[in-house]
Amino acid sequence: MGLAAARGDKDAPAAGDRPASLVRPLVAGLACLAALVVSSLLVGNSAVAAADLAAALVGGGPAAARLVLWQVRLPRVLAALVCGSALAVSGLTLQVALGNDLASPGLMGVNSGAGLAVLVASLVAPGLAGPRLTLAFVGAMGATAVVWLVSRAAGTSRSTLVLVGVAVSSVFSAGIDAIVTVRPDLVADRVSFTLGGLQGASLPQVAVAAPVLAAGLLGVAALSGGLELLPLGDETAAGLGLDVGRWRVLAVCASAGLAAVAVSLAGVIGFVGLVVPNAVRRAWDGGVRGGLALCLVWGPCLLLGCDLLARVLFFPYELPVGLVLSFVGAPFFVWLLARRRRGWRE
Amino acid sequence: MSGNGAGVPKASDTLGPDAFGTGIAATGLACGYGEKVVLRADLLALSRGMVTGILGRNGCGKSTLLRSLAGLVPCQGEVLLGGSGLRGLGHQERARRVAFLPQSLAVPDMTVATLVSHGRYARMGRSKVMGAADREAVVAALATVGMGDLADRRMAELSGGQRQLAYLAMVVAQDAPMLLLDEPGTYLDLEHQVRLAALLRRLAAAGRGVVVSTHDVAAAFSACDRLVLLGEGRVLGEGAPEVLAAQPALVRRCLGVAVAPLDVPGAVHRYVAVG
Repeated sequence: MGLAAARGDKDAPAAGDRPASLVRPLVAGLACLAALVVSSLLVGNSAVAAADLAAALVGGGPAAARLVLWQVRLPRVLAALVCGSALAVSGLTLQVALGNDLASPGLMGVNSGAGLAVLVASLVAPGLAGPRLTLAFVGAMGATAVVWLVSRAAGTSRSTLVLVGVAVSSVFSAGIDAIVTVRPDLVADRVSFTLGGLQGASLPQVAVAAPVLAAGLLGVAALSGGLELLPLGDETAAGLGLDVGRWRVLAVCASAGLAAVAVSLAGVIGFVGLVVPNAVRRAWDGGVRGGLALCLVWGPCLLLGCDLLARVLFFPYELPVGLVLSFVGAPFFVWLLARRRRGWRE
Repeated sequence: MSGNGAGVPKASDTLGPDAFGTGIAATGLACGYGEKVVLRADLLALSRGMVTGILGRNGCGKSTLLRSLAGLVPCQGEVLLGGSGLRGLGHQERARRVAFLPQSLAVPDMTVATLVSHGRYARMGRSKVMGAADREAVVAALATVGMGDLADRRMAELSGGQRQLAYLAMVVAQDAPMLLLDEPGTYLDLEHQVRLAALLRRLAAAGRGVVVSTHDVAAAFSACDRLVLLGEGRVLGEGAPEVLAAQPALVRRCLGVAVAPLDVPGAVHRYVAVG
């Protein structure tokens, strides 16, 4: 992620101040994001001159350029921004709330739950973004609740959560496959729905998702002061005045809502919510709030970067971004399983 | 239990209305988990300006009592924190009146200063951003426990004793008049235990009420102003250490051992446990 360089960059802080500077990893992330946004807008199947695209952005230029920009590339980039930040922030919130660095909406079956619900929404109310998002949230919440409660009852190991997640998500994936097989018309592209893909996103969909994303982010921000205490352990945090149970439930709800936003836009997209928060935690050790800010910026970086790769790797053929993410994310996940637990909680 | 009676000279000097005004008072207390009552106490008063030790065998309810008084586990009966009923207080209002440090502490991946700043949680506004007063309190708390020079060290780099002191700085920064510490000396070597005892004395001298649970009998009798002896599911005795030490049958009933004064110049403890 290129964030590791920031690890050594510590200003001499006054006691009680933030122990490290957020500025450098944030600025680096924003610069990276800007570069990726520009390249994503410039690169594509149809050869359109950069000058025409720039003109199209302000409403001028040839009709072909306007079409490519406003119907294809811009929605895709905006969807990547929304999904990337939603998934990364969702993952980190879940990890802190559950005290488990393996927690992520993808591994826990939250995304599959939301995906199944999105399909159900397409059956019930085809083409409507509102019900789609609402049901995605219900699905995400349901999956989170099942995985959390079962893994809490089953044991103490951090990987129990993942195992229960595997079981739960295979049920949801089977449901998704069943529906898609019987009603193939529901999804434009089966692979990009089940693996996650950005090509189906449209501006109206993004316009519905963005305010929900903003609400979810505001919710997480409001909870973040209390989330900082959770790494100290429940009893210590409670002694400091945190309503631990309430905070945990609210954080899990916010996390599920953010995952639902992403799934409603880009299908069952995996690994962003696992890779980015863990990379951020390794690079940044100054607390939950700084970590959330970094996830907000670096999440879309990963998603846009992988999407760009998916588009140019076998040009002119496009891969769903979920495929590239799996190639990047799965080895990271294996490495995460192999190493000793480390993080904001012992 | 009407423990602060006339027969307990040292305690009665400092107790009195203060315990009900700014300390902790509990009446008709029955605490435990679910249906199972671990400990009952008819009347218990813990006041400011002194170190109170809660003594008893393993499983006698020391931790449960502290958790109940801190409002972390529900209990029957009434608990007054600084004169207000515990049940009517919100989480942060409660944390401004009583600080609680559990026995087992995590080793979070953060610096000592960050850990101590978390003590300010209930004192900060809704945004939970530290102001100048919070920073001052953090610096002062670090100085109080003598960890000012380790503020930027990470918790994982510290020894067990230093970590305990860092957590203690965190609850000191909480600025609550009452501190409830569950077995704070458990993982400490003798040097750190002595340091801890001196620190608790300083906090009490500065007007806070310090309540520690422990099963280190000799240390408790030597360092506390007042002791509460738990056993058989209730409070069996309370009073100043010298008063209780003179009742070997009672002490033995609660702890399985008696105590005897130790008259050795320079000894770490003034009492020794005798079988």
